[in-house]
Amino acid sequence: MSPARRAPAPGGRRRRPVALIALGMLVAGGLFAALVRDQFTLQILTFVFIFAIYAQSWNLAAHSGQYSLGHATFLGLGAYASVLLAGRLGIPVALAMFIGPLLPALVALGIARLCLRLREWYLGMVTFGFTAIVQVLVVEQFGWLTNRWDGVEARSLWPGALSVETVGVLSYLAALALMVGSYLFAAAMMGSKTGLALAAIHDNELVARVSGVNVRGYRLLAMTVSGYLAGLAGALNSHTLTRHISPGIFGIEDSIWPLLYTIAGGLRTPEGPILGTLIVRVFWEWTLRELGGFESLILIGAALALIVMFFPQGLYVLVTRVAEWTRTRVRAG
Amino acid sequence: MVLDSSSLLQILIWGLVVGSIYMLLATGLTLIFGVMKIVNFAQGELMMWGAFLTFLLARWLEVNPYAALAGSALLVGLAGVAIERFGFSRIRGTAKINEIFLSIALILVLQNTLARVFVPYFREYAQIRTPYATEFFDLGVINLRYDFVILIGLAWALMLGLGYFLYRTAVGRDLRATSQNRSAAMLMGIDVRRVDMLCFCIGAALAAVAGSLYGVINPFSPYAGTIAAIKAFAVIILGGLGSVTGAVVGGLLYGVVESVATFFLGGSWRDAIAFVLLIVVLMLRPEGIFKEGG
Amino acid sequence: MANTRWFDLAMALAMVVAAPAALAQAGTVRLGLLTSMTGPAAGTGLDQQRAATLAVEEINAAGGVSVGGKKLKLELVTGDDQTSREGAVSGVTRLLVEDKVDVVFGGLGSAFGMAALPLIRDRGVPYIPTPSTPLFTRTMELGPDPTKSMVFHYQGTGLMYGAATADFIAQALRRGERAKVVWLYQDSPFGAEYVRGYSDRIKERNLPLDTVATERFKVGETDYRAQLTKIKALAPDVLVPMGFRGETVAMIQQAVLDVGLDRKKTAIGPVCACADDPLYYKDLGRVGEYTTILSLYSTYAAPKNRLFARWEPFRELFVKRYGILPGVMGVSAYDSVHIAAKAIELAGSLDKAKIVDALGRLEMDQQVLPVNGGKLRFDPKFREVDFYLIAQQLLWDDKVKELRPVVVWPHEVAEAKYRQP
Repeated sequence: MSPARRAPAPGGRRRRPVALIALGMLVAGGLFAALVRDQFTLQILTFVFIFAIYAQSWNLAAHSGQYSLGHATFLGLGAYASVLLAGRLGIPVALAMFIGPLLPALVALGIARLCLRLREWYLGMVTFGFTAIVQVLVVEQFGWLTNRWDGVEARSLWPGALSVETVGVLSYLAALALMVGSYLFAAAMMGSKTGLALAAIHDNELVARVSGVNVRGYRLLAMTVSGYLAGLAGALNSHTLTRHISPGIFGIEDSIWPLLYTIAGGLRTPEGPILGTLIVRVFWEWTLRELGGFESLILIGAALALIVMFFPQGLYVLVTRVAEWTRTRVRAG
Repeated sequence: MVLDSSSLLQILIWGLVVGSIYMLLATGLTLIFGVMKIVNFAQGELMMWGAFLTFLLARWLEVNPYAALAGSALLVGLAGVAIERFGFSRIRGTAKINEIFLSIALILVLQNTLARVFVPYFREYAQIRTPYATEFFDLGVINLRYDFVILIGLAWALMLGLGYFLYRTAVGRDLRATSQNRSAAMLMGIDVRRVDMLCFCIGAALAAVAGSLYGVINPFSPYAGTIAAIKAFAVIILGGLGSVTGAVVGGLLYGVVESVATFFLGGSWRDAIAFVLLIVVLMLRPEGIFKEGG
Repeated sequence: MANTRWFDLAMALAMVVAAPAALAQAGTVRLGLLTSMTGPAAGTGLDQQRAATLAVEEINAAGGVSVGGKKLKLELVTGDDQTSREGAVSGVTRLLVEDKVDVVFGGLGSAFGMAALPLIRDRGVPYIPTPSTPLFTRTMELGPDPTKSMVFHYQGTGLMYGAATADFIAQALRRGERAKVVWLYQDSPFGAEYVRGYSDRIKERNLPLDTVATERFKVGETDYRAQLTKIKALAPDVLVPMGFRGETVAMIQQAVLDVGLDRKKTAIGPVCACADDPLYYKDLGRVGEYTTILSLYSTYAAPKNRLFARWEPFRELFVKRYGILPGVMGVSAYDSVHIAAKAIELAGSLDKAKIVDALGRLEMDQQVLPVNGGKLRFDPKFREVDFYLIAQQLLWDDKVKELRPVVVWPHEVAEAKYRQP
């Protein structure tokens, strides 16, 4: 593959009004909840927000050229750590949710350290392998703590006295807030000097090193941050929606989806993971309702194949194109 | 720990049998990688389609599954060409991760189409029945089913045939040349597009054979291919991307390690141990055991 | 604001989802079947859906359920758990929120049922799960008091099967003789409970069984040769291969054909009652001759006892409608519909708390699945049903060219004695 054919790092083509977008998301999300009171729709969107955080975490690692195929490791460890902290030690859930992900952050650091010499496919497979290994460890070595395959029930983030509807709305808002927070963080990180360094490493590690970029440090940093964020998504999910965790979380599927969401939306843009998760997930739910399970998955597969063939840089390109088109129209008019 | 000579022999045989299946799958992957520098994870789904077609053909035409296997390999081989033409050839040159994306999209399509057809009739599993299921070779300490001997024999015959094709024919030479240096091959007048299609065809056909053999010795489900393909990919990483020798050695080694680990550590380590091996090897040799190319 | 354009797009897309759900038909009782309609277990999910449909049609043909003097029709709604935890959460929410079901029932995978449980519990909807794990009603780590729980477990549990396994081996298979037993079992909550039920029963009754090895395999794995090779070297008297249908078939075939286990020395079975399915007899083939299987519902046997009186009629009904025989998971879904209907009549209302209460004090004639004493009720402590298990030995039937079962245990319903090959 010749680097020349690749588009410039999509992270820094034009300064994006990050604050405006974040505000837009908050307002739109809030309005949506106020207008559409349907619990099921809100729950789907809560899923979308949580998985968007997860996809964002994958995106950050990818931004430094570390394409992980085993992010479920971090998602699962974050969930387990937080659930166990809250359940066994009685730490308030809202606190445990932020302490728990330190474990996957640490594990991510360790894995990144081991993988410093590895790139591309090699790195992908090693990260995938760690998911399989961590699953066995969680079941076998830490079975006394994790109930082996039985799994652990998670405490709810919200007090038990609240009604189911209120809890649904609160979870939705919490997920929305954290997603916007992770977006701001990712945008700031990609837009900063660190982001430039990461992009340089992504494009050509050797060149980056020669030009004085601390490749080692930045790679470790990107993976650690990514591990934390993935763990946060896992913790948030298990205290709001899927309130029972079992070792099945360390499966292939959970490692694959953030990759699909991010690339469908726009790889290495802070908006891509959010856009991709929203579109794919909503499309999925819609086809599931209209057609049924197998047909829905077949259709998603076909749609994703078309996306990558016609928009290899993700659907976010559409947005920027529309934006530019409007701008020129406005100028001309 | 009980480990007498007959147990040891059996463990090694099980390892070689599974290893032969990984070997076929991995060889297909590594050929494609060598030439196009892409990885098609959907190889595992082609494998299960291969098993299913062999199963159906043997049933409908009432022929020996080992004969039906040829038909299945042909059909899946053609599907491989279609996948290359309408899928992978279109995304060459875009971001590297896009290949994974496309292969996952293909997995979704292939796996669920198969499940859609398979599940209402066969529920979770089906198995390919051969006329030799209860025929044995007496090896003294153990009896070995004909099917295992046929499986290993067929896998090796295919590998030798492939070796002959790659090293003794003009088309095989073109293929190796493209694998070593694509642009040079193009300048030499080799039609690399045809080479691409050929690779995908061989890779898919090998996957179909691997799947059919898997279906002879194990019950198969539409979902069994994914993890097999990932392991096969780990095999070619272990052996060195693009290296056929690596795929052969890596495949067999993987099979044996899995079998031995299950025996000593228990079944829960079966999948994980392969990756422990992969990680250890990559820590020592970041480019795999055998180097890239040919 | 051009850059926030995609919010319009997102909103439009989300609106698609927000499209008004099919409004619940007034005057119907909605039963939500939460099971796997996609993914590896989808075939068995279909079995449940078919069987439940049959039960709903039966009840409606008889006029429906009477609630407060009015006859209401039943309506079956299926929620797909997609054989995944996230799928279960999404599927059950759809049932609870959109379809507003009055009862949730069914299911195959314990992990998916458990993932759905907190959401069902939050809304206080009665739940009759049919996966095997006893965890549904036995661990409520953070939940309410089990006796006030809304979960009523209608399925043979691993604990029950494990205990029956120990009893059967000691009483019928070895007739009191001391035996070396090995297990090859599924590494899952179900498998772990199963082995625990077995070990507990041995301790409890001081049975002369020595468990010399417990080997495990991962769910979905179908190559057991390495474990079986190890087991063969131990030369046990009994091998208990425990797993789902496909897994069990593969274990027995590999043990006999590939690894060469000495059939004269080692008895194989009893295998899990969950494997009893037409396809089990078909797939296993002659290799399975003389093996044994536990059953909560047998595909072919028809022991002469009132406990099994409904087996034959149910089979006929099912075959007439779908052209194939049902499996035990389908039967439990069928029964669950009848139980739910009965409880609603007893409650005389669609009020959730009243239905839960009715389920708690329900006492009705057993349905298709046999219950000790013939009366079906949920025991007040664990909210489980005291099922009556049988063991069968499989023998080759030359007429149909397939294995057919002979009931060999317990002795009061046995058709023949267990035979060593």
